[in-house]
Amino acid sequence: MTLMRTNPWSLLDEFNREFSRMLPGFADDDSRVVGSTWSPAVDIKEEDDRFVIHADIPGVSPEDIDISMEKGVLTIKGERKHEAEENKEGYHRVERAYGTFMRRFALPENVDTDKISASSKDGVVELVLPKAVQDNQPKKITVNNG
Amino acid sequence: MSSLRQNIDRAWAQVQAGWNNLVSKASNALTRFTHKDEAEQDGETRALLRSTPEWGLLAAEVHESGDDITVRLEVPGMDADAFDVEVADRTLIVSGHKQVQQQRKEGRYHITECAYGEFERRLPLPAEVDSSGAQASYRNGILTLTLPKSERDKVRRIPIAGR
Repeated sequence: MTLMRTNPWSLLDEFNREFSRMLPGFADDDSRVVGSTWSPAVDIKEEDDRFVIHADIPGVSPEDIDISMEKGVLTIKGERKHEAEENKEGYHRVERAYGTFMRRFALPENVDTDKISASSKDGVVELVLPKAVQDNQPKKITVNNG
Repeated sequence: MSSLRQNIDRAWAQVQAGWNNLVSKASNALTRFTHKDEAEQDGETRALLRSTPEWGLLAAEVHESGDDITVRLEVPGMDADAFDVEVADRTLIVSGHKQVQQQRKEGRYHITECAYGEFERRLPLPAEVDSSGAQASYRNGILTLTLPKSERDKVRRIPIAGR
């Protein structure tokens, strides 16, 4: 039986390829969250003139949090490091996740990306994203006779 | 064909082991948030509280050294004085009230993943502690408690007399 000689793992590779093809978002190298070990919980609120995002990022110093904006996508990423050099054998319970985290959001077009501000308090990062000032008056477009 | 099946079985077993590990870690940290004071809140806050999850992950870490036990708990967005910590019968009980932080009432939430309200997390301690000597600090959303072990449970080094 020739089937016996095929590498069973090639089936998995094939499955993997099919899967990535089905989910184009994951195939795009930059957008994949693969490699980050955890991602923070968030609240996103829309107010009249701005969006407010609260992200729970406990145990990470503000200087280890990197917030960037590119092509309409806001990225919050960073790394949680161990707090102290402790004897690894002394742990009775470890539920906390360490390592890199990442979360990305596609922003609505009306966000004024130059005016985004961020602050951090007690492990909660607050991002304020003002909306661009828009002329909300409906515009009347007249059709000229040619 | 049998080797293929074996490989798939092995891969599946690994996925299951990983998943079980994840579930056991997460379900320990899973903590219920209740809204006892909901009736006192204004309409907007009440509506928000109803849309927030009833369960949150309060991940903990318990480390034992010769003299003390250090407990770290992830509870972001608290006021340091909104915690209540007690030790009863070799169990650490941390309770508190996480308030919604918002400058303005108006607006609508698109995503609510963070839990708010009252919570209580119980953690079994690996040794007897002297709670009168306990120290607590709260920084970057992590509550750190240092609990000295009671005299009986302290590790004593017994020197071996040389011949």
